[in-house]
Amino acid sequence: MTIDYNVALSPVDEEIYRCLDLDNPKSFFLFAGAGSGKTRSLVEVLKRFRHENITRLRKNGQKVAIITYTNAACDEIKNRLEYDSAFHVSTIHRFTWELINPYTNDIRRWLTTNLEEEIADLREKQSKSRNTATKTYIDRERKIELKDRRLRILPDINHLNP
Amino acid sequence: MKIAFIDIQNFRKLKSCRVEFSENKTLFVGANNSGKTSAMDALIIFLKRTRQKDISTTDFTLSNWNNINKIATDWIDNKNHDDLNLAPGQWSKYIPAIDIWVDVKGSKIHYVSHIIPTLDWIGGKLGIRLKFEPKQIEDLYKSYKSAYEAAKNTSEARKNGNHLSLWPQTMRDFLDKELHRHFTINAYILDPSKCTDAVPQELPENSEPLASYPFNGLFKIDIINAQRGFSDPNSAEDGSRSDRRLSAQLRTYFEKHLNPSELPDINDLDALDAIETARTAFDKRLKESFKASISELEGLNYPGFSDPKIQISSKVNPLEGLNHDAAVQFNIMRDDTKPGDIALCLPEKYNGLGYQNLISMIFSLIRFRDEWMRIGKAGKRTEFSDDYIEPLHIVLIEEPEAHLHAQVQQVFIKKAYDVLRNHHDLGENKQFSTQLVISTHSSHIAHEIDFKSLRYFKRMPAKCAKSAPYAEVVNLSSTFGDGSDTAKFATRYLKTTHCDLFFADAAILVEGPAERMLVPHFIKNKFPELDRNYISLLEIGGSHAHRLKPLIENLGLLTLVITDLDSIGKDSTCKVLPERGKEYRTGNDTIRSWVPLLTGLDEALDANADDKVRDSLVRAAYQYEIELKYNGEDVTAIPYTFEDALTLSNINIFKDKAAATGLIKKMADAVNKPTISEACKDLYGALGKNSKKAEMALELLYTTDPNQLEPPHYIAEGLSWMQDALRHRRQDYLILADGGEAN
Repeated sequence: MTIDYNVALSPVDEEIYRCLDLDNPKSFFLFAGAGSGKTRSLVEVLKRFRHENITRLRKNGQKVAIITYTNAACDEIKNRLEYDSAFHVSTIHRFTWELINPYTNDIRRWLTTNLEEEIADLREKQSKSRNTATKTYIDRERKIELKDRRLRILPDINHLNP
Repeated sequence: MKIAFIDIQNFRKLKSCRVEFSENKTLFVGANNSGKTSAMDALIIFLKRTRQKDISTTDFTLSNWNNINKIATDWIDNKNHDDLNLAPGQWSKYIPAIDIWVDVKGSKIHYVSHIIPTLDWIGGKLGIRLKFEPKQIEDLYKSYKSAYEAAKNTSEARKNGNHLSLWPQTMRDFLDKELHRHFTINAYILDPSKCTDAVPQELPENSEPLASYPFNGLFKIDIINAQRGFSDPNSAEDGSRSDRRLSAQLRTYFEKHLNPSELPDINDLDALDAIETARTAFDKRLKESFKASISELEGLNYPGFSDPKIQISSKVNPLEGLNHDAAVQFNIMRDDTKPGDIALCLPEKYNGLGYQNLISMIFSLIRFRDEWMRIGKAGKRTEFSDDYIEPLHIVLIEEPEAHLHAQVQQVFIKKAYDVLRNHHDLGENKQFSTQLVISTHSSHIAHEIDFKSLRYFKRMPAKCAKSAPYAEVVNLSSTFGDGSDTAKFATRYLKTTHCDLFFADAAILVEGPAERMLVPHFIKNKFPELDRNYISLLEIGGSHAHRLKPLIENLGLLTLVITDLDSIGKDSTCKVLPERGKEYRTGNDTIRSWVPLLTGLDEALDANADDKVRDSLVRAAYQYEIELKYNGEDVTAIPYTFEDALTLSNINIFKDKAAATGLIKKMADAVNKPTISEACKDLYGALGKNSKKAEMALELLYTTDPNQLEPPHYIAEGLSWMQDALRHRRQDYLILADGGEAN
């Protein structure tokens, strides 16, 4: 890489960088108008952070997680960070999914209880309604049927996807 | 993070065995053919990914082939396809597998997030089963069926009646050729709540193998195997096998960690500069030397070449600089050699094999450690890649004792672990763990290591017909309980005597130095069959022998305790001449508290051969009435100790020793007395406190051919029991009727 780390960060970036202290981490909130350079600041600070801490991160088997709102922003940051493997850039959904993705059994268990509760809830509502010809009633009946079917096939599913 | 234990199943002799790992060093010990190497190989084959192709049909437990062949026969016999059983479950009982249980702290979860079974996991044990199983049972079925039927049809087509065996006759036959096409290693997550079960847990049906090898980034595994291939200067062997020499190792190290032409930094520039200058100068010289010849070539003026200019350019590769025999030399001059003297050096391969081996092993360990810690260029190379330092380093060393004499073995084993931890991030730091596993045949190595780290491989006889003998692993850390005096005694005793209990077929515990010197002669001369076994002889004395009881029983080692009657008075603990009917007791702790568990002298004398054996494993042998001819009369006598028993058994030899000195003379005088009771009294008197028994044995060996000595009857009985028991055991270790060849 051809970055000159001796070039001082701008005062704002310097302040942000001081928050990213592994021994004394601080949260911060950065807001500014569009095009004012929020992403640039982030990237500059992260590059500096990598330079200073890479050995420690590598030793601990750690990475920096960066969560964005959109895939476009995600790609943009990856690009600006030169696809460095020390950074894990993803959207919030992808990030959380990657966290829980191996635990099929846990997901299945949650889905089962959740579906059962929903069905029980719907059944109770059905039992209270006097008129069985309303659209609401028929809709609910269809929902119960669908959820029932999902519940039945759940044990045979080995790979769950979001 | 560290490996807590492993369960090996259906791998060679290890049908099902658990090997617990110590925190730092684990040592596999055991007699020959007890499964030490198999356990090492199982670890290597399953964990070292480049070695996974080495697994072969001979690595399946032999006795399982009957059942595997049966599965295939059922497939073939199943004509109507109604109940064709293609369930993977029926294979799992018979195929090699290894369960790896690691201890992981909750704070290290980011290393293991892909193998934790559920999100409720909060730290503790994590288990992975690596199973060598059919990739697709359906494919295996199809291929086997078509191969088998093709063979069958062909051999049936041949009408002349000669039975011809075509491949494949059985599934075993088929897999000998096609194993890796149809089998692969799959990994499964185990349920940590069942990790304490005595037998490895069964996987739930429909469990899915993990998509990728689960231990990437968790372990770094390194191996020093037994074939280290050192070259003698005269040995013809060369090439790949000799690459354990220091020069070769240095080269590898240089390439990985130091090479200045790769990812150069400031410090490398001088070296690169020098190499470049040398190259330019060399090129210039080349150009001048070849000038005449080249201009001649250029004068050819071959049509079609516009400008046939020939350039000569050399390449200096720093790596090549190490690539020759004399790269590593040993200076054999004294340190105080004056500068200007001609240095006398010898290339590495003229060094002693033992020293080469030691250097090679220690350097390998250094290399493994530096690779792991990403020292030098290795660190730079990975800085931009995805791989981080594995939290656990496993080093397997097979039989480090080769070519090393005893002291060097001890040095090696003491230093090995320290070398692996000698880095500023390691040492006592718990962040990265190193586990060293060593298999050895050397008692010197075994005794340098704490008892707690020893794992004894025990041969077990086949359980029933058609099953093969197997092996069990005993964890010696629990043998003596925790920190008791017995444990301390046994550890100290075994350390100081360097006994080889862990590698023996059987053990004989003897009372004193006289027995230790003479019993081997009795074995050699009178029990030739016993002599062919590896028997460990320990001099420990009747008052302490019983302290080894827990160890002997744990090892399952066939043991003969040759001890003394030690008769003492009814109420006092004074020694007395043994006599019946006087309510005398025995003062010997072995007889009283181990085998045959008797206190009264009369009962001890009355005990028959069966009483003296415990669990077909341990037999006591001590003096009782001996019948002999004394001055032409049939008499009986009760010897008190080994020496008088020996004298009474060899009266004629001792009678002639009247000219000898010391104890032998006293014995000779005693047996020249007119009556047996006087003789016994004198013998007893001669063997008082200050008698020099060891000297007597030496003197006896000096003056008498041990061939002529008759072993005292109680020892002869003991040895013949042991000979029978060993013969019996050997039978048990072979496979019974048509179970296949011995493993």
